[in-house]
Amino acid sequence: MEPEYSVICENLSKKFKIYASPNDRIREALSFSGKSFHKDFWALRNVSFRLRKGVTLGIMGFNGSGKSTLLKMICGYLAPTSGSVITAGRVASILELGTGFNREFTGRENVMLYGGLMGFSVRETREKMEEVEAFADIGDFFDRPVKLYSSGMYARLAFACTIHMEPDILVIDEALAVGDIAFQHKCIHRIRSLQKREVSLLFVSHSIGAVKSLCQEALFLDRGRLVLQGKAEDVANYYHGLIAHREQEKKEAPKNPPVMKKEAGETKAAVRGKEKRIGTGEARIEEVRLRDDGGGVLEVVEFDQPVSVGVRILARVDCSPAVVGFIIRDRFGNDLLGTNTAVEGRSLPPLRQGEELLVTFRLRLPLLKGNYSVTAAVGHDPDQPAFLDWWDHACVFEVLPPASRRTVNCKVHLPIAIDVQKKGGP
Amino acid sequence: MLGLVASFRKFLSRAAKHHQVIWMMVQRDFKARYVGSVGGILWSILNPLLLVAIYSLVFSLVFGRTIGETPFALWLFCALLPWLTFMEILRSSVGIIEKYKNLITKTPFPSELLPVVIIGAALTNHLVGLGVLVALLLVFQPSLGWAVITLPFYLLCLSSLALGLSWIISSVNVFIRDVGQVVNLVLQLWFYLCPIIYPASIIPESYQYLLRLNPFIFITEGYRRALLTNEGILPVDFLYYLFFALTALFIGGWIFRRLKGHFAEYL
Repeated sequence: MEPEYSVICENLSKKFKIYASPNDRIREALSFSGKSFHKDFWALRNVSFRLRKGVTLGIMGFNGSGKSTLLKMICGYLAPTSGSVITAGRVASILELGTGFNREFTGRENVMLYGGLMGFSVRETREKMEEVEAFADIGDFFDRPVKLYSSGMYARLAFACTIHMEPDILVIDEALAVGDIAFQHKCIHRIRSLQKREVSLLFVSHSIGAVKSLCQEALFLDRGRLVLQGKAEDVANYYHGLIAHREQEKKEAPKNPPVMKKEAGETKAAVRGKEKRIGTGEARIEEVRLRDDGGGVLEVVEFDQPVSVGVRILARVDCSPAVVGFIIRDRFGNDLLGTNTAVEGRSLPPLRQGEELLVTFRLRLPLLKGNYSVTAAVGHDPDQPAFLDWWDHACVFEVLPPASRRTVNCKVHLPIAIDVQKKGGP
Repeated sequence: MLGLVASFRKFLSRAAKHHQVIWMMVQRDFKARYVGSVGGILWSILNPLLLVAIYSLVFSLVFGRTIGETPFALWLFCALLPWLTFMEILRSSVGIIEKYKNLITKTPFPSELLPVVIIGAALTNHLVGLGVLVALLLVFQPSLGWAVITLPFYLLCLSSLALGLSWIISSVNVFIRDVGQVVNLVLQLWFYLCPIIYPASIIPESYQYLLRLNPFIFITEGYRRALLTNEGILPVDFLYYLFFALTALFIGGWIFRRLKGHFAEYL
């Protein structure tokens, strides 16, 4: 194995055998004739990747995409059906909210046991004990059986125990999801210090933010196959896009956009055309563009630059759209800015078939540098969640950092006046 | 044959590698049994003593107050003790994989070592009982001879048969839950097939060979030879027992290896 890598997976596949009953399983395992009693299920298929030392790899994917199976094979707890996985150094893991803890043992005993499993002598583990106890910070519970722990305490102990075992490769499966915010911060801090020490990390998470901030590289699994592999940022964005897509596929009625008034009621909206679009289709948003004052199309804007968001709508039949709106979202999908014509008190003219309507919103973009997207919609009635057309991520743009030396710390930076007063003193 | 030796070597090297973890688990098991109970270690002494008392009360009426020159109770205790250990190992094997499920699915601990943990715990318990037995013997019949040194050998023999059977019981039970019931039934029957509560001599000469078919008699009678009559190991009985122990290890090892890969998926 080349020394610069810590994990090499080659054409890794895992087939689970699905049995109708446990008896079938044992009949097959112990039969000499080789008769088969199962159906095959491929949890992972032909996954290949290499992880360099000191690199943190995010693993993303929907439930059941094979993430945990992959991790278990990297740790060596599951044998691959075909292909190979080679790891260099000591592998420590936090799988499915916990490690190999025995519920009857106390926290301390479990740490001793885990130390032994990781190949440390009793003395060496004892030396680590104090640090583990301090990091877990669960008080008296450290000397009580693990079965009495809350899930948060369990995660604390698992995390504390694992990271103090001097791993060369650390595998974390959604372990940060439990535990309070303070502990999460502590963990992230600790993970960063491990990263500095050339520890390779494999990190499964559904949190796009966590993957973007902790990982350098990422891969995306879908139904057992490796679909995308690359920079963490790109993979996380891809995942984010897929979620948006799935949500809309699932729901016939679209989610109410925050800028339009919420109203319960069923809508027969047809999903049509491109994936991210919903609506009856009586009118269609043809184009959403960001333009500067001169009318030139913008893809990169400067901080606080005055721009216009133009929404061009084509009527396919005679219709009277009552409301046109837009939302600007950041890469995490947070709604930052947006409004619609109804909220702003502007009425719209009825349209005949083939007529076009251009609605232009003028605004400034005092946003933190980064990538943003514009979602636009046209609706019948501001009080009904019925859309003629709803277009997610209709266009994307990038905001540059402010040209002046001023820094922007928050997502949105509106002009703020500051008064400073000094009182008292000699 | 070569593969067999190789896989057994692998098992031993794994056991050596994880000896510390095994030892911790044995300690833990021992502690769990007594820590938190008021009686503490007293229970592990009281339990066999009570059993000995009850059996003695009933069966000494039939077989007389002494066997040879030994009080019936002591004579019984000598053979009952290894049997109780054997029984304890097989009974604990039933649910052991489920009990340590976390260890199997989330750590590199090799599951074939779990029976070793059970055996370790049972032997620790055995030593407590043996201490009591030896103390009683010294009081009532101060005739402990050199043959006592054969006891560890008998324990090794007991453990190897138990290990093979434990592999079968623990692995099959993951998939077929009836194993526990079958084990209980077989143990009941087996107990009465062993001359533990009755002397072998009560069986008519023409049927003695039937009694000798039971390999475990090597252990129970061996204990009596070591502790009471100060006699050494019978080589023919040993070879006969060895055959069974090796067969159990072979079959148990084979079954366990075949089923092991399914544990993580099934648990």
